[in-house]
Amino acid sequence: MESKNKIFNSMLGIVWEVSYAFALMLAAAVICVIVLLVKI
Amino acid sequence: MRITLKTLTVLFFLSAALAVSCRGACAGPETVSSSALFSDPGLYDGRTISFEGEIIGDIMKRGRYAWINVNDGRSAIGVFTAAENVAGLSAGGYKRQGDIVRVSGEFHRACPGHGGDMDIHAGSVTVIIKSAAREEAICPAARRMAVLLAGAICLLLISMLYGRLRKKR
Amino acid sequence: MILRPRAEDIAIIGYHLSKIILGLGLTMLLPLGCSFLCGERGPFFDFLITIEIIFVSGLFMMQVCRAAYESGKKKAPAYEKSIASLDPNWMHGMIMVALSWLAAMILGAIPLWLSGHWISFLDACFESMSGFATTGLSLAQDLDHLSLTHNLWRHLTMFIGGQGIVVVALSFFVKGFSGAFRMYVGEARDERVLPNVINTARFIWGVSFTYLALGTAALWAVGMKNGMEPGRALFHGACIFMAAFDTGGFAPQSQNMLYYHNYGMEIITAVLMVLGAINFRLHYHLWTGNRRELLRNIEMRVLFISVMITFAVTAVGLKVGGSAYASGAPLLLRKGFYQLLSGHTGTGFMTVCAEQIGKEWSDLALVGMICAMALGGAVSSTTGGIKMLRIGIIAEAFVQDIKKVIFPSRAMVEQKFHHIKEVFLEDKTVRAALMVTLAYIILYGIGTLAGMLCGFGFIPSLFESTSAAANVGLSCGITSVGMPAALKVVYIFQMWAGRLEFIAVFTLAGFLLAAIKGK
Repeated sequence: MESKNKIFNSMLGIVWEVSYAFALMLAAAVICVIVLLVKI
Repeated sequence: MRITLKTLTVLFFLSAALAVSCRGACAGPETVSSSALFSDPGLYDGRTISFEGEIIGDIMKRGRYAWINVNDGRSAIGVFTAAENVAGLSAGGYKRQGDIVRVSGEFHRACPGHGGDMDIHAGSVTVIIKSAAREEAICPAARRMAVLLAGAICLLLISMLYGRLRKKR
Repeated sequence: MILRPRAEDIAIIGYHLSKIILGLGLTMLLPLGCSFLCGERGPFFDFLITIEIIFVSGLFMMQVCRAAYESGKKKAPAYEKSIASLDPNWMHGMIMVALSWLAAMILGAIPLWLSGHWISFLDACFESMSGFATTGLSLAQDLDHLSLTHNLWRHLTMFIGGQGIVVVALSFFVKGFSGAFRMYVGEARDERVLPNVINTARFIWGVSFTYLALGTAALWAVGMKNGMEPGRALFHGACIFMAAFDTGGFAPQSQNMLYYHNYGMEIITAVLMVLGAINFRLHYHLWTGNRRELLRNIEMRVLFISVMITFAVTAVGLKVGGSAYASGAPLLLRKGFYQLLSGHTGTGFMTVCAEQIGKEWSDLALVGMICAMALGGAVSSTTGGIKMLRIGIIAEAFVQDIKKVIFPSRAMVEQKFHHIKEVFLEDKTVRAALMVTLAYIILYGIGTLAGMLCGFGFIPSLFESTSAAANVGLSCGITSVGMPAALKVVYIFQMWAGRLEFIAVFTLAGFLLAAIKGK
């Protein structure tokens, strides 16, 4: 049971880490659009 | 064996020279080197050019189209072309010298359709020199060196064992 | 008064150094096996000879050091224990680390040099240090015809260097000793994830191998969808994984990531680069269920903010400079953001040619990139540069000082930051952070000066120097076979000092000074 829990936690941890990376990319996309819309 | 190899290489170079001179005769698009493309990509952007070099790595077919990377000896550039143009071509690596090809097509410094890659959308890919196996050169000194060093390791290990045994007594 | 180091000190350092060298030799069995499997006979001999050289020199050094130690013990029993059971002290540990990285550079360069793809031994040393320090600047000639074996070794050096050479080498010897922690610190991995160094190393291996399996599988699948043959896709997947997760930046082909012409590959490597920039201690807490830590951790917050700010600068720079990459969001993301993220996490993957960065990017865009590279990722990860925790601490210290001025003088100003647990900001923490930051800035400056002395412009010199010292590996075209040998040596020094975060390097310098001037 405990080892099952451990593996589950690690898997969730991986999901969180990967979603952090995707959040970073999403935020970058927003900046992209802003920069492209604002005529400099 | 040696002589045939030498003649083969000479033949290779002769045919390469012939191919180059032929190209001058049948005036196609301007052949550009990778250094010219990299040093002034804006100049060639959107123009139809020719590029010559060896196909390296992989021939990556994706549906009806394919990507190849062509290296002219200094740097490589991506070539996007129809899949039928690359049928039967082979790419170079450690064991093989890839096909040396001339690609003609439109050059993009930052292709909008391909995420800004610098590429050539080639209409034609013609083989100048067919691919050939690369010879692996192992100098006999390397073998001798390997054996010699193996002997040295054995000697060291024996001396270590001897030292340990003597200490025990 | 400086004390001259005793012969015993040198013997202890040499003895443990020889152990590390032998461990490094064992890692070379992997490329040796690869050459056997792939039927590459030339590379097989290259690696066989290197392994033999390592074993001869390692065993010889071990014997000499033991004999020197024993004879010294007879004359004056400074140390009572035998050399094997003796714990090295802090100075020994630091010097061992500094020297073992130099030894690894030289020994790791031998097979590369034998392959004939590097025109001089210095170039091979540059490549090997670039690999071990997870930098990614390359001086390989005709990389597209390099054997799979040598390519595997290039990428393996990143994996080994990312984990820490000493940690890897000592993993081969079952009996861990308590001095291991001192070496662990010397390799800029000062945070103990778990109370025990051996368990810490084990956990780090666990994380690395889990991601190795996941990342390689993902890259393999994308590679095959790309039109690569299964075998080659797997090889490329494994190599790219090692370079991405250990924030290295080598790639099996001369075009680096541009070779694949595929956005899927770029997304996966971008994710892997971010994962590689996360602190191993944070990995541990996330993997054991403390998931809120991801949002509260100072390093993750600072990383997010600084990536966004530096990307905004770079994007504006590209837009103002009229770059072709600012013509649409997908281009700006795949070229601008990918390069920036690659620089910020210290990876150095490129989807543009080095010459293009030097010639087509405006100065503002380059400055944005340079700032990103200089800042780096999290401490105790495989990234280089100043690192997020230090930036966070310095920022908090600024806030504290401003509060002190604004608030009434009787008020007690206490600043806290959240890194795994709430930590009170102390002056000594701030001092340590500032010292290392200062050292990095000086290191960046030295390389810039060297670049300018060799005739390159200010911005390109700064870019390349920061890239080397922060172990990034992006290049704007200065790093090439034709660059002056002196500049190669300077970059090698920068990669070495930047990777070890100075303490080990300064200890070695102090040791040498003591040997000359001491009494």
